[in-house]
Amino acid sequence: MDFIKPTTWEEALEARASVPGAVPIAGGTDVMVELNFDQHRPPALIDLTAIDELAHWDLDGDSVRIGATVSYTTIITELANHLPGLALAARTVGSPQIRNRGTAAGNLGAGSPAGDSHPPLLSTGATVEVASVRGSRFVPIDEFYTGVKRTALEPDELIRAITVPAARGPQQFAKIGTRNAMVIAVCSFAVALDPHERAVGTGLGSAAPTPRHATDAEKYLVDALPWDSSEPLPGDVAERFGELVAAAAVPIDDVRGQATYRTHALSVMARRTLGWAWEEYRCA
Amino acid sequence: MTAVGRNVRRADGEGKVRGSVRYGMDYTELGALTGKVLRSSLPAARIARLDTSTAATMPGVRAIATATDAPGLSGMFFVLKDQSLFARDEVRYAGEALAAVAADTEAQAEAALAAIEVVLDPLDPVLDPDHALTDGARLIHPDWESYETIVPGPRSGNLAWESRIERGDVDAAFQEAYRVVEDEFRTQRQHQNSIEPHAAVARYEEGRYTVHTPTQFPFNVRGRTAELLGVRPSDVRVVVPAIGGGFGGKLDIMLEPFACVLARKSGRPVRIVNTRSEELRTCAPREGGIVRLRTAVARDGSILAQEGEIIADNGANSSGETVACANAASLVLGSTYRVPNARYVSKVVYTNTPPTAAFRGVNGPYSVFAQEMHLDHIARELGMDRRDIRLHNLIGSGDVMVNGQEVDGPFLREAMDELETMRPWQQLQASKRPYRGHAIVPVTWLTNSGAGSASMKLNEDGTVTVASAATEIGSGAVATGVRQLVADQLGVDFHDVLVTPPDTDTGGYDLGAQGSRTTFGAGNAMIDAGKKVREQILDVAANLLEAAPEDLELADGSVHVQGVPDRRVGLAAISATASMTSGPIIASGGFVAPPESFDGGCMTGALLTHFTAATYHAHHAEVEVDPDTGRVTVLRYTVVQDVGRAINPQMIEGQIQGGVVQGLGYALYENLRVHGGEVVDDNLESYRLPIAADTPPIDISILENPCPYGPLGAKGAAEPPIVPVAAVIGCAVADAIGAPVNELPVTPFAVLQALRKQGESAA
Repeated sequence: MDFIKPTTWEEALEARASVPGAVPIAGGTDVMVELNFDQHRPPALIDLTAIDELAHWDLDGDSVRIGATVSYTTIITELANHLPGLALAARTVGSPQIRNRGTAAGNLGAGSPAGDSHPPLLSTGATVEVASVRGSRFVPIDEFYTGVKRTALEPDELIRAITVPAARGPQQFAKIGTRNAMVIAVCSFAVALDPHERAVGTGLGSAAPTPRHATDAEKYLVDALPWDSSEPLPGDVAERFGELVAAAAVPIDDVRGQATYRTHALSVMARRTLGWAWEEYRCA
Repeated sequence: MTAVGRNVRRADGEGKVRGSVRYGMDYTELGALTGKVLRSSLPAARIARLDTSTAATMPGVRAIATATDAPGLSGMFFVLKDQSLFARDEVRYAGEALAAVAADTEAQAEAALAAIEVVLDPLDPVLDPDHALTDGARLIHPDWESYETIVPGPRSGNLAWESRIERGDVDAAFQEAYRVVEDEFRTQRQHQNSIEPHAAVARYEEGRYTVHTPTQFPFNVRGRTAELLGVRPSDVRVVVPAIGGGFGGKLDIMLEPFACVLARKSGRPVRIVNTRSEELRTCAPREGGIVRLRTAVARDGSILAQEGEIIADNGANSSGETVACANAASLVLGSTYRVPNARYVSKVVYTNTPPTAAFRGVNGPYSVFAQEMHLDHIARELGMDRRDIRLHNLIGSGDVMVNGQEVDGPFLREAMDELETMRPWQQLQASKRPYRGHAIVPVTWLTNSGAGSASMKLNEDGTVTVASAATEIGSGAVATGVRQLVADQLGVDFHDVLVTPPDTDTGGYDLGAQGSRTTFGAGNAMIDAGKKVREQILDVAANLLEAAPEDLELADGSVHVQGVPDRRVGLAAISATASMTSGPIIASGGFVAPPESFDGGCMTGALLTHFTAATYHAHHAEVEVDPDTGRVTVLRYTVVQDVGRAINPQMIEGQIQGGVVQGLGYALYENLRVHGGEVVDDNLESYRLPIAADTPPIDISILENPCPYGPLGAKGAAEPPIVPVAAVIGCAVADAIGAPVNELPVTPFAVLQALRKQGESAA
């Protein structure tokens, strides 16, 4: 297996184009597990960590552009104000060591439905910037996930950055695991409220072959939330929202949990995260 | 300053912290080949064909071993000899060895495994222990009657072993009962998951095998390896490097006999190290258990009689301790509370699953879980307080346990009283909030009685070396405990007591690190040797100081005349003098626990008959349940533990914290699932060990009720802290949700199910 360590983005794209099947690696938290267990033996690894520009984030107007090798720890320590949903999710990833290495772009590249970054990225309408020697394109997050561990990336493309609109209202995230840390999610959920646009975003993890929105739940909430008042969240709204989120899920039974439990837990997390978000909104 | 009672730092601590210690899996020898084992993919099958001829010609392959190379049958503790090293005509579990290969590289060994032609004709696997005992069930060992046993034991077909205790008039007591309460409990397999996997490096020289392996019990590995290979125990030498954890999982042979056979056939050293997946799939876990209890109680809550059936899943053979420990389940059911009339039967059952074995506390954790959940059920039926019913039936001075053994003091009561000062029961009851629960569990446990021996010499520089086969499994028993005892006995500094690495060629017999016995059993053996060394020292010193030996004192590395501290001679001078006069100072000693009196007539098939150096404990936990997600959070945990005498309080606290956390894993997370005969959880992503974030604050109080035959009164301390944990957590969760949970682990799914069932019955 070859190990390619480009120092510029152009070199990286060149390597990706010239070695079919080469796997990009940043933190390696998914890639190395697959290699260590011999589940995958790619012809080459392309180490992205020597490309300076990928390791930075910028505030670009109303959006944050996160380079492909920005770690979860950086998201937690530097972006919690701009991207509270993503920062909350980043806090639940693995252990401090894993958060120091792992990246949100890596989560996208692996495409596992259990990745912790997916729900907040979905709920905020992020955009994935991908590129190849043929040029760049911007993929809306909704179109990025195409199947279990499959994404919209072409074989010669790399993820360069993720652009996420800066939060204009409360964002929340919840995750259920089989213990209190160092877990892959049994299921997870994110919600984002945008009071200016009266918009609601959701994201479900480990609930279907791909991370997904609960579109009906979003639509329902836009109309049902008492946006103009500072009253507590009506119980029936939370209840209905939970039901609609659960209805959006098509989970499976696997070693981590049962489908029925996942559906139930999603409705619980939907109610709770909405409750927290609404408290934050009405008390602001 | 004396060492006993102080938190001296472990002799192996710096090396372990700095990473310089060489563990068993780090050990290798020049020119060592890599060994790999071919294992069955099916849980039950006839071996139609096994052809190694192609594999033998492959590059780098130096030896291939199969069933013909290991003619012997054996079993753990030599109790029931139903295990061959390789499957012979029939495969009895997925993971059973079919062949082994030694090659220059790991890749070559794996390629050779893949080239071995295997044809298996599947048989119908027998997987459920209850089903295995039914009349029509296929016999897993059709030749069961031909197997040798250490003593005649009740067994038949798929019933590998049965032990029974019957005392009093059970049937009459049930006739008189105010209430009869009945329950069934089911528990899972739990894997030891030591951080270091099994590893073995063997060589064959001059007709003898030498194997380096991080085992808890070198003499067992020696005897069992010899038996499987059909050689004498003295033909095998076992040397133990630093052990990276065991928890019972490294008591028995695993890879050693394979490495030995391959070393003989290849003429080269052979090293085999398990992957984590091989550990989880093939290294014997704590058995799954079914416990059925039926109890007759009086109106005041007195237990009048109890019937218990314990079904323990032996797996496919008796290579683990499950058979040897069968009676422990019955003993523990009848040693915490007065059970004047009892009928307990413990059945160890063959199934086509990987064999099960010892794990800290053996069958105690699930027996106690069953007994305590059951007691809460009785308390509910009678409208009694949960602590009151326990205190009412608690065993104490003058009472007898279920085997007729007399209880040596009111120590359980003292443990409960101490706990009361730490966590006042009524106060906690009164301040209860919704979905919060708490529970209290007393328990009696034992110290392993097994034999130990040691030899001790005074070195030229006045330091002391102890040669022993006692192993340091991580508890600190060898790294601190036994050294502290010897240091004080001979008046030398703790750091001047050296203990040799375990080696069956040089160390005397020792029953290994099990049942909390090392400080107790090996420590007593060392004290026995130390007495003789001390006498020799004083004899030499008496001549040098012109004083009577009885007027002399040993302290600070020298001998002085009592009351005249200036008249002294150092141990180095004594050693030098001895080597020119009476001969070098050296002595050996031994220990086995004295017998306790009990009623032998009430038991059949019992290999463990009584409690040696019994210890007394009380645990308490407070939990919170999330009624929506089913998640259980342990808020606080409290342990009161009787240790006899605390030789090193800090090491004991470490054992208590570790035992409790391992118990929380068993109660809430860990479950080695076997589906269709195959282990589902063959990695640590799906097999969930508890971690720091799952660990509550643990408050500890150590009680000291000295044992007359313990070293300075000490009793076993390392095993018991895991024993009542699942019971405490189960009872506390049941208290929080108002519904029982009769299976382990108590997962969020199980909690939600219990809540739903309770909701349905309320509606």
